[in-house]
Amino acid sequence: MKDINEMKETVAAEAQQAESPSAAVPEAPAAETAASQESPEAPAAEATAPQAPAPAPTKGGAGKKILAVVAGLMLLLSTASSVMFLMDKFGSGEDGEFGPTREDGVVIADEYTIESTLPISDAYKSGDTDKLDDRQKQVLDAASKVIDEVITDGMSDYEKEKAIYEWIVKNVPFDNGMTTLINKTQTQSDDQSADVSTTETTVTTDDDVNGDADAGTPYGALIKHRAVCAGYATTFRMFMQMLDIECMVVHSTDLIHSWDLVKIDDHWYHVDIYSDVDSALYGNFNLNDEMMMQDWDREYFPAADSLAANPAYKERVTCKSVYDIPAAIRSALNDHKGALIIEFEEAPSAEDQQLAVFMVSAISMDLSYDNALRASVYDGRWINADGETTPRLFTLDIMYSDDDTDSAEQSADMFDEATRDKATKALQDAFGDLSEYIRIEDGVY
Amino acid sequence: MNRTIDKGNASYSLRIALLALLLVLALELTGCGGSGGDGGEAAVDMGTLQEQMLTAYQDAGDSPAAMDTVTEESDSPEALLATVTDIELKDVEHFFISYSTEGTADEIVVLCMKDSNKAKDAEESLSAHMDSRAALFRTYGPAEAARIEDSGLVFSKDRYAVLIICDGSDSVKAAFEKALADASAE
Repeated sequence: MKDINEMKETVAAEAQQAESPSAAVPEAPAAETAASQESPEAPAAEATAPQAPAPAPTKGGAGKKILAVVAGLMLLLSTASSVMFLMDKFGSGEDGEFGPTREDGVVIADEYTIESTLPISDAYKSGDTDKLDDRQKQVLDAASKVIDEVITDGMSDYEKEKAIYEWIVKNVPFDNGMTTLINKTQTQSDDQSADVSTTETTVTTDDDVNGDADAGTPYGALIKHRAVCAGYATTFRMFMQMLDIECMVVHSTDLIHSWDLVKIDDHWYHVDIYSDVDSALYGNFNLNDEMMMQDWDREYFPAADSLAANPAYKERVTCKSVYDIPAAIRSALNDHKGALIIEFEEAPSAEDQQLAVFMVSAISMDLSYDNALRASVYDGRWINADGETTPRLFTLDIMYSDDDTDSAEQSADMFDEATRDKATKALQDAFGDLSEYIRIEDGVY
Repeated sequence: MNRTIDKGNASYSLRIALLALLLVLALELTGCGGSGGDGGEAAVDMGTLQEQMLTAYQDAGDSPAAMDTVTEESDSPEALLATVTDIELKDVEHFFISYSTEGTADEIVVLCMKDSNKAKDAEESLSAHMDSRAALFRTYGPAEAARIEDSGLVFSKDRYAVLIICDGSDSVKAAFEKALADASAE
């Protein structure tokens, strides 16, 4: 694995070359030079032409033309191959099968470009803001205030990371632009007019409207208060860089998602803030590679091979039997936890491992969100503890539906027990043959 | 005799020419939004079709999403069309794309092809688009991915290729078919 600094320097240089046409141009003259070095053969051919046996003057002219055409074609082919080489080498914002991976300059969901945050974090550390534009200065100002608010002297890197994560989750609203088919920027005319030619509706340019390309940047997250995955990832990285904590923005190989890798106490961890907004805290905080359910370039990005800084692991519960799992899950739901890791002293049998997964599926299917806890569990799976090869940790995620202040009014608790029993009997009489679970009890309807 | 024959030929030619002209005019009118179709189908006014399908959409689900609609008359129609299909705009007579502005999967797309022989290609393209949306939502909203898998419809009829993703998609499809049937009856 590459040293991270060396890697970043390489990536920065590649990104700069890829993004700056002027930087990529010097190769082209080289190609032209190579072609022009071949072109002297043309005059040479011309010079020998008169020596050819009895060439008709007109035929000699045609020969020159043919040679010129051939030379021209060679020049074109040479230039084209050089351009293709450059596109392949430096990419066009894609990766995987399309070109080499890089951290910045990658376009997510064809809409959101991951941009370097170093100018802002460097300015924060140096105090020199001369090189920043107005937007960057606004971001720096907003981010500095956040750091002043949540970071205190003596905090460890983990505590700083956690404080920034919590602030972002609570203060940067989710933008649905990632899943909106046509974003605002696609329906705006060149003059940024507020009106677009839709048959029924008008798209406005208000800052708080979803689908803004800025939602993929710290400017969108901190100034416009909207972010998609790339916005959360770049903003978190910027904060980490401001706090001298190593951090990278990772993107999925299908280029539809991005998140962070952060280095805490010499170990890398995945942090996917986007997936925790509107959900539960820490569900996607400091995961190892095994827990991160995405595909990414594992050759390029550093391995996350520890659970030491994962909150669910720090607060893991111990069970002796897989039959203890339901009670452990219920306890986690009651405590409103976003993730749960259950540790077994020894790796359960293959059958017990399957049973555990089935129990989570059963809870997930029958619980859904229609319950007093407004929660659901999913992704139950077995993982290895650090440095082990046999799975004895069972992990699962917990999702909570939006807190709804009206939900209490919709709870069946508003009915007395006799009323609920009577309604349940009526339901059972009519539908009991289809489901024994259909009943009115202390759930939310 | 010859003159008579010539005259007869001229009259015959004139009739052929007139018939050809009428045929051309008829074919012109069979375009989407006109009064007929190249396969003999009646064409539907796209504005009416859109209105009827969106009305059915509003009536079908418990909580329909707010929808925006773009058509070939919107700015950058090529780019807008490219969000749902790789079919080129030059092959499309008319289209509308109604999509949720709330980040949900709800989507209604109707492509009226210039050539009905290309409707199947358009259908396959829309099907690929639906798969792509499902893949996106598997990351960003598994519940929406499930809605696509449960209720997503892609089909073609005459020169139309249609995609419907919403709760009650069958009733939106029925609205499309009724609009076509009504146009045929007129």
